[in-house]
Amino acid sequence: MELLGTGLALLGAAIAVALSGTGSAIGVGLAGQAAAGVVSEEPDKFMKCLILQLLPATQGIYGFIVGFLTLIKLNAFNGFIMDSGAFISVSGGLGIFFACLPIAIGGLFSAIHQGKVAVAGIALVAKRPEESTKGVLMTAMVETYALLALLISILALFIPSWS
Amino acid sequence: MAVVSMLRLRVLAHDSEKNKLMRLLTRSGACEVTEAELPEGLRRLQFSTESFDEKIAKLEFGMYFLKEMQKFYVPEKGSEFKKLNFKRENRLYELENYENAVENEAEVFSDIEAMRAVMNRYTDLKAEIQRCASEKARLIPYSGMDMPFDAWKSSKRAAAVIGTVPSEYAEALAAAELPGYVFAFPNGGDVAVAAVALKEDIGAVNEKLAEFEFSPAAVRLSGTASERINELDEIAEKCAAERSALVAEGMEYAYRLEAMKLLYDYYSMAKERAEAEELCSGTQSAFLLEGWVPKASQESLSKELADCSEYLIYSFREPKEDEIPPTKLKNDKFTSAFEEIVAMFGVPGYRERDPGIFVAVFYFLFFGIMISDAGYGLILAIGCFLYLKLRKPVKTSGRMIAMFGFCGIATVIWGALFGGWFSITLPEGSFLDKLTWFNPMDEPLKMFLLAIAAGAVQMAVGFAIKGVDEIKSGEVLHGILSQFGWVIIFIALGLLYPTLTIFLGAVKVSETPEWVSVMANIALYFALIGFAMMVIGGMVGKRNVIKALGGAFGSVYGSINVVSDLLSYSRLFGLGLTTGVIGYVVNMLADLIVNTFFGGGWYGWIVAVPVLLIGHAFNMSINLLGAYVHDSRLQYVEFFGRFYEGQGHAFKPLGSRLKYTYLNN
Repeated sequence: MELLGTGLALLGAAIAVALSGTGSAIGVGLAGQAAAGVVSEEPDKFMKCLILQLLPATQGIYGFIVGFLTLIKLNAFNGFIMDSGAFISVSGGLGIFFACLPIAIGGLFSAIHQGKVAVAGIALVAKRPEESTKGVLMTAMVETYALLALLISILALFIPSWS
Repeated sequence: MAVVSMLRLRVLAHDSEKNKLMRLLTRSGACEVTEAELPEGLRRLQFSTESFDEKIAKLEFGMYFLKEMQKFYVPEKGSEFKKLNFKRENRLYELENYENAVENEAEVFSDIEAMRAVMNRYTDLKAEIQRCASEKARLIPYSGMDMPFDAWKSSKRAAAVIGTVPSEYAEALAAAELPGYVFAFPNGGDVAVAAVALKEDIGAVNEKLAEFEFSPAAVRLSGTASERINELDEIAEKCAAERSALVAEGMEYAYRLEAMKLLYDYYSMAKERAEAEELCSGTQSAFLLEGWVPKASQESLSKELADCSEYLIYSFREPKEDEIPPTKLKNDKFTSAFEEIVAMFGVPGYRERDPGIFVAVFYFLFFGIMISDAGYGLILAIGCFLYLKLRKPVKTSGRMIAMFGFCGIATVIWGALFGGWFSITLPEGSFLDKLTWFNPMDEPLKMFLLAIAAGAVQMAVGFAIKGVDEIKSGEVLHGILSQFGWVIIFIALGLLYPTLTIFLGAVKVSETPEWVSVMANIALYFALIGFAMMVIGGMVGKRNVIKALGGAFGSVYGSINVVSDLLSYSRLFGLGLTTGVIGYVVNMLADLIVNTFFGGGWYGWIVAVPVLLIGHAFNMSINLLGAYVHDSRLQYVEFFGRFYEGQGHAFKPLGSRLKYTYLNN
């Protein structure tokens, strides 16, 4: 039972990476299909489409960061022994688990929706390539909420002295 | 600085001078023609631009042709073949260059006709090669059948069928009982099958075969399949050979590319000019042209106009109140590098303030915080400035590059403060370590507060600008109360900053110093004054009590927006930390490869170095994209939302509608 806390914290890290990664994969996938369609007609627009396709990729990275910071917090690379000399307590592990939730859930949904906006942005590039930056900006608006989720996840991971 | 003053130019001239005048204006690049006054008796002129469109379409085809040819062109060994440049030429052309190109245009257009002939043959060959490939694909399953197709013909009493079955059914088919003879010719993929049976049994055979997903042959040949495949290969080869010869022939027209670009832009300008002429008003033999000219060009343009002809008169005057001249920006080198950011949102109206310098400074600072790695900053700055030095982009085409160069410098500064050098842990006490202010990974809270503080400064500046503008335009009371009320609230927030850092634990102290609590008390009063000003500001100018209350409520409600905008600056924190963490992971991966997988041997670096290079390149590019996008957003939504409209239309002088070249004007 002494590892229950560690297990909970690791579960948090796992879902942070997995859910936000799933969201990004869906978003980038949607945008990629649209981008390939446009590029098949006009190969010159590849770069513009690629930038749009890449935008929903960041949520996966945010999740990865939170997952990684959790591992650091747990001292995973040195046997999970905390500063106190023992494994993390159950309450500490639960705390970290909840700290991971914002980016896991926020990342999942914001990436999917950002992917949809990116698809629309790619349609905009197909019709009016000179306005592509505006499409990029609209797509980036969705990301605000992933950033806010990331912010809370990181702060909740770091500020309390989980033990 | 900022928005350039414009003058209204009026030229009245005889029709015979029109060409000269238009040429002069195009060359000067200083006049945007607008709708001229239409006094009674005068009429608008009409032009057809069809002939230009036709020529432009031909030139477009010419360039497309060369692009297509280059795809299959294999230059002879040893010959110095440079890839054709289909982008804009990076040099300035004189008006004479275009006119010379037009003089020789007959040759170019006859060459384009010749290109069309080549293209027709080329398309035929392409189709033929494709046809051979698809027929071959259909025949491949039969290539194991060493009998001609014709051998399987029906006779008086017997019938034959040929076709294929998927290879996975081949064995089952061989074992199956059929009322006839089945021959299989396995050949790797689908299996060719021929069946012979008595005429009365052939229906049953077909039915049985259908169970094995038999599909009858779509081809009928007099010879064997492999003979035909060889034949097809030969045809395809011949076609490919002819195509390479054709492509080589087509590439001989490559030297026309520059002329085509010049002609293309000449006719674009001609179209532009025709549209400008339609805005003029005219009589039978004279015409009136009006347009906007930057004040700075007045002198040189008047001289040129006076020298141009004696059959024209001109005048300049200041714009009237109700006229909206176009916006042309003039800024120093640093600010103009960031003009693209403003232009993307919309250039300022003629009478509006140019936010250029503020955008430049804040964009510069925020970009550095978002990337926050001095190593990446160095690469970015050196790369961009080297590009500018070597390529020397003409006119404003290098503006964005210069902007990223400056942003690179900001990144070096912030990176050094955050101790970020490719995310390498700095040795204690080293020079770079001494430069470090704090490491965001170790003290995330401090970084968060820094991000919010940076945002508070920008937003306070935004409110202050709006306040100054309102006071200038006569709304003195509203300007002071509503806008500067917010400025005071932000100052209060600044005074509260030390208290906040201690309260949130970003700075660890054993005992709160006295000055901190004194400042917090002052901050409280400032905040109250600011809030009161803001609430009263909402009531200013309202006629009755209910409306005034509504205004006050609106002010308070609006403050929610301000708070959410302020929190939006936390993206500085998020993006800044992202770079550091990913870089750290890349380094750790390399360390793992060298020390754990390869036991510390030097050969571990052979694997680790590419990992480091690719990892950091990925990190840098994804963060550059993020910083560019989110920095722009902070300017547009959080900053411009305070004071800026950007409803102007950009100055587009005659001779600016060019796609492939730059006109020296």
